[in-house]
Amino acid sequence: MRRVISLLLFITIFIGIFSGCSEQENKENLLRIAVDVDLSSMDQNIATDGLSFEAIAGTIEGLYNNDKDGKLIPAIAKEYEMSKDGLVYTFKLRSDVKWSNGDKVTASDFVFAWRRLLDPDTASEYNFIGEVAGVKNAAKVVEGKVKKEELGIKAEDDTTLIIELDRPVPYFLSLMAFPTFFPLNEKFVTEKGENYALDAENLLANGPFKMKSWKKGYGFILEKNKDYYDAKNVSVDGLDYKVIKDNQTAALKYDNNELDVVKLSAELVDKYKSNQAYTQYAAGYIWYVTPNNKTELFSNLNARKAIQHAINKQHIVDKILNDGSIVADYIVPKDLAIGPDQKDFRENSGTFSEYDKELAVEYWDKAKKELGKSEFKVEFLFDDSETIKKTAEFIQAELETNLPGLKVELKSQPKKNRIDLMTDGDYEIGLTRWGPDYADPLTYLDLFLTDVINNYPNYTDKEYDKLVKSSANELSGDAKARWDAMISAEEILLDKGAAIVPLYQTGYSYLVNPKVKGIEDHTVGTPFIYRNVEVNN
Amino acid sequence: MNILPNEHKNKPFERAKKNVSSKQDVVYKELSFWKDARLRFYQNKGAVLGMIFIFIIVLFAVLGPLISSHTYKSIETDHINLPPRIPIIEKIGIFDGESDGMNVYKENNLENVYYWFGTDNLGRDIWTRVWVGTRVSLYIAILAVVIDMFIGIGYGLIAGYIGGKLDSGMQRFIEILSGIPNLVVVTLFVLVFNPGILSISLALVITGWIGMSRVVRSQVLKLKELDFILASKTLGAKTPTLLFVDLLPNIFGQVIIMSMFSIPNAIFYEAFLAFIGLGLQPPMASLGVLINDGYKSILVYPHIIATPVIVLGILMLCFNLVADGLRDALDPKMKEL
Amino acid sequence: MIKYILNRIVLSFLTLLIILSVLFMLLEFMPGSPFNDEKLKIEQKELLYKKYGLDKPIHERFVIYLKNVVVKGDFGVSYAIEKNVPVTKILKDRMPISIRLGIQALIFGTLIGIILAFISAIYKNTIWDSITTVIAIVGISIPSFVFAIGLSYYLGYKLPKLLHFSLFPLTYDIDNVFKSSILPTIALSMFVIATVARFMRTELVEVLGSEYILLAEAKGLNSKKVIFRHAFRNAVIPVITVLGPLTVGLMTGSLVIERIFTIPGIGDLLVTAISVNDFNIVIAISFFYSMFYIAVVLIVDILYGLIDPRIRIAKGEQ
Repeated sequence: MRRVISLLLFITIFIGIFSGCSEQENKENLLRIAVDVDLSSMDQNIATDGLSFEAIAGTIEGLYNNDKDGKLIPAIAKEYEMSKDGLVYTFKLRSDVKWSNGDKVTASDFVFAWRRLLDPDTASEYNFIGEVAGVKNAAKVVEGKVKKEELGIKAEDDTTLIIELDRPVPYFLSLMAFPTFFPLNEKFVTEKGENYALDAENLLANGPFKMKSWKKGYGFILEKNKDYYDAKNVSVDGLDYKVIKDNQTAALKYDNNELDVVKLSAELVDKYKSNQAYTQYAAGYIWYVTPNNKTELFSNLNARKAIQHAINKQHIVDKILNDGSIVADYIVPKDLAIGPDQKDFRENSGTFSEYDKELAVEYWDKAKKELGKSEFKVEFLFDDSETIKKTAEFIQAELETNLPGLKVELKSQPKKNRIDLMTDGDYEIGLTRWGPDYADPLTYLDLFLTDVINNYPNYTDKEYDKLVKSSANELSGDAKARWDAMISAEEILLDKGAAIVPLYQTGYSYLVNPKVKGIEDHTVGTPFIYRNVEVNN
Repeated sequence: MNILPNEHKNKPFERAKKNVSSKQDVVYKELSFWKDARLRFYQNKGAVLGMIFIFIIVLFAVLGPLISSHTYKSIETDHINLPPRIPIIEKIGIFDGESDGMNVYKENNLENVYYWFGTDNLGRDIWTRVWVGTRVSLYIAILAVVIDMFIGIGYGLIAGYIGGKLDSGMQRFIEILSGIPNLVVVTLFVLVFNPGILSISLALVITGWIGMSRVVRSQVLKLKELDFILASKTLGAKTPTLLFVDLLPNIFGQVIIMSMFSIPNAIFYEAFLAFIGLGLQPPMASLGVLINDGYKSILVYPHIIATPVIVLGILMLCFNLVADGLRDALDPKMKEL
Repeated sequence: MIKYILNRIVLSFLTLLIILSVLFMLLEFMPGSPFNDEKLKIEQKELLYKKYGLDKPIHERFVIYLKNVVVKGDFGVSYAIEKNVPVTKILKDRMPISIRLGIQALIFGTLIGIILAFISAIYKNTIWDSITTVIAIVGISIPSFVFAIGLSYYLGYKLPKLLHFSLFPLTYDIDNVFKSSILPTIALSMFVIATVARFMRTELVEVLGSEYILLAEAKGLNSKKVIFRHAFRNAVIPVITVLGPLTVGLMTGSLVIERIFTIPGIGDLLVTAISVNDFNIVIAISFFYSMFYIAVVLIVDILYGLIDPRIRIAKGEQ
């Protein structure tokens, strides 16, 4: 027994000694950020997710940057000239930008990066963006029909970059702030080959930060890049990212002053709502219910209108999500695109499909009469992740109570399955979302063109198609008319056609240390930019 | 069964007629074996306590949802995240609907509302969900174990009884199958066939029956050499009679012990799968699903996870206690493993 | 004996091969792809499939995959979690973390388990015996993730709030690996403690009742000396046999415990890979788990055959 006791005593002392170590101090002026996913890629031609773009945009700069309001500001490009027909852009580049290996950033770095992006061998998941930007031959290069050298981009000299387009693209410049279009150092990337961007040693930076260390699954550190041309305006010593998949744990660590920026889940918002660190950021995702317009019930316009008005979106936003998301009575999100009058798209467009129980019943009765049936059963398809489940369960209850005679069965599927089913049109009604690829309403309106692959509701309307297509092509030169066309297209989609039921625009709740100033959030492209962050210790 | 030769030893000159009565003795002893086992089982306090608790939990699982005015999926939009509150008991300061010193019910003007175990993030009654979840978890476990039993007994009987090349072939198959850790099998099976009551049960069966068949086979191997089988054979019993009348009842005790150990194991794997994101489809609840849901808000609303965790813990503990008790009662010589 | 060992080794390799094939085939039936289906157009998907060789018919791909695994030890690249990074590289980073945690739990658990077993065997039928029995049955019954949740809630969250001082870090900390692994180690080792304690107590009780112990006692040795000199060795050896189930328990536990304590090990990686369809990682980790398990079982069987020839005979009889 004595031995047992002494062993236990030993263990206790042992643990005691180790716990006696003092907490680590934040000696450097680092911004400590918690993220809930792994950093999946530092290669801008491979990356697809927000965190990767954030880290890439921290280390590499492109032609342009976004300021805190999402407006374009020059970065590597000093100025540009556009030809009268809008088909040729000539950029003058700064000559004082350097890669972290000492090489100069030249126009040919852009040429190399763009060709690599569209090269079929790279198989970039974002290679469609070249076609979106209207770069000459982009689609053909991706398809392998022409060589990548024939892409409409060339370097006249080290500081002159010329880009040719297939058609005028009104939002072309705004795309230049998107990490996918950033430059790469050809020599370095070719030399590293398959190992490029796999770890901190195999990366180059030309931006405000460079990668110091990358511990997979644990976190990574971006430290201030002293060779950055604007280094004097970068006030933090670096960004310390920690991967913490559980938001609750991250919040606790915030409480212990081990972190500065922490994302909150809905349940945590209640706890921290009155905390002065509580901050809400808008995001660009729109979640919407998509009825398959080809099914018996939802081929009926009034049935679609009935569900448009039968769901209490405010409740979803306040009670289920509770994370800063806002009710969306529209499909083109707020804070996405600024019109020719310098106002947000939403300020000039209308609202549709608001929650209105009586109206819903009215439409529902009409639908029942037209279809000659009073009992309907539909299957509701959605992703099997947590909040979505809850939302789906709530929608089920809403539809069943507000629309008498409608029976809703839930079918949750892994996201990939759900998307496959929706793409094949093998579903009745479901829940899906879309995030913007570029800062223009078209990124949403494109979705509902006849026979487009992401047109889950299988919506088809000639007038809509005409308006959307013309605003992508003929109207490119006439900003005002184009804007009006898109406004009416949205109205047709949601009001006349009642194709879908928009629910909410996502938002995020964060805890941000009050000592931290200057985090810039964006609904499109890079979600967070930390270039101008200050930590006042 | 040792009694027969012993009696011979003691009374070497008894007449053959006496054998008839001693045969009846065997029958009598057989009966007393179960009686004896029962007595031994009742002496084991832990096992009896476990039995009682299982009975109570099953009772709640059956009746609990009926008492409540809510169903497991009905959503009360104004009643979300309410802590537990039980009438009368609330007066003594527990289950009084308070969290962080504030009565959440009073604050939301719900003076006359009572949720015994509180509500979850959607405003669903946890009382109902916990008992429905218990029902589902038990159902999955029992379904899995019953299928285990059928396959295991069948496989074991065939392998043990026929023996020879067939047996060694069948044993190779088992060896290979048992080489795969069930963690991998279960996870992948559910991953591929999507989580559901049936798919989870079947996933548990894939490796679950092996233990059962091993026990059955070794018992058959032992028993089939014994005299009573020989006697039965010479009396002209056909193979089915031999298998199901003579062999099976003698193995049954072992099979019951095995299944009692398999039940908590199945309950555990269901909860485990739910916890790594392979749970049942909503709004269906099982204990695992409830724990996984509750874990997401454990720091803010610990009451959501508390009850399912407690019920799961008690259930697993009780099944283990009962299984232990049964083993000691039915087969005192079996080693603790 | 050598023939028996060789036989077993061949069978193990065969099992591994079958496991690998089954894993590969199973994941073939999985719906969806590891890529961002939401945004991908059909043409882009085709490009991706071509790049990773996924456009070839399944049997061809299987042969290629098998060849890569067997010849080069190459399990392909990650499709989603760390795009284009070879799976072996990812595992190399994460494996030591998991193994370390497992070994810590094994050592800690076995130690405590043996101590508990001794307490209950020496003080048989006293309150000490009952207490250890209760600890053992609780440890066996309650899933390790329930312990983990409890530990992280009470010791990681409630206690520091009370003391205004944190004893144990809530998450894995690369600068303070040992301290941050205390809570997960305890949670993971509960199962080990219970299994070892239960198993060893039975062994001890049996050994203590055997004739040579009686002889030793009759010689006049005091009972504690008897226990430590004579009984201990004979009671500890059989504990090896539970190593198989223990490994499975540790692996299963690590999956959830790594999630709860945010430890960047392979358990956590497997859970993530499952949720994002990163097939190559799922196959590789499942394969690794199987390999490890088979190796442990094999070693245990061989060791046991060497230590105690009776077991071999008994096994042969079964």
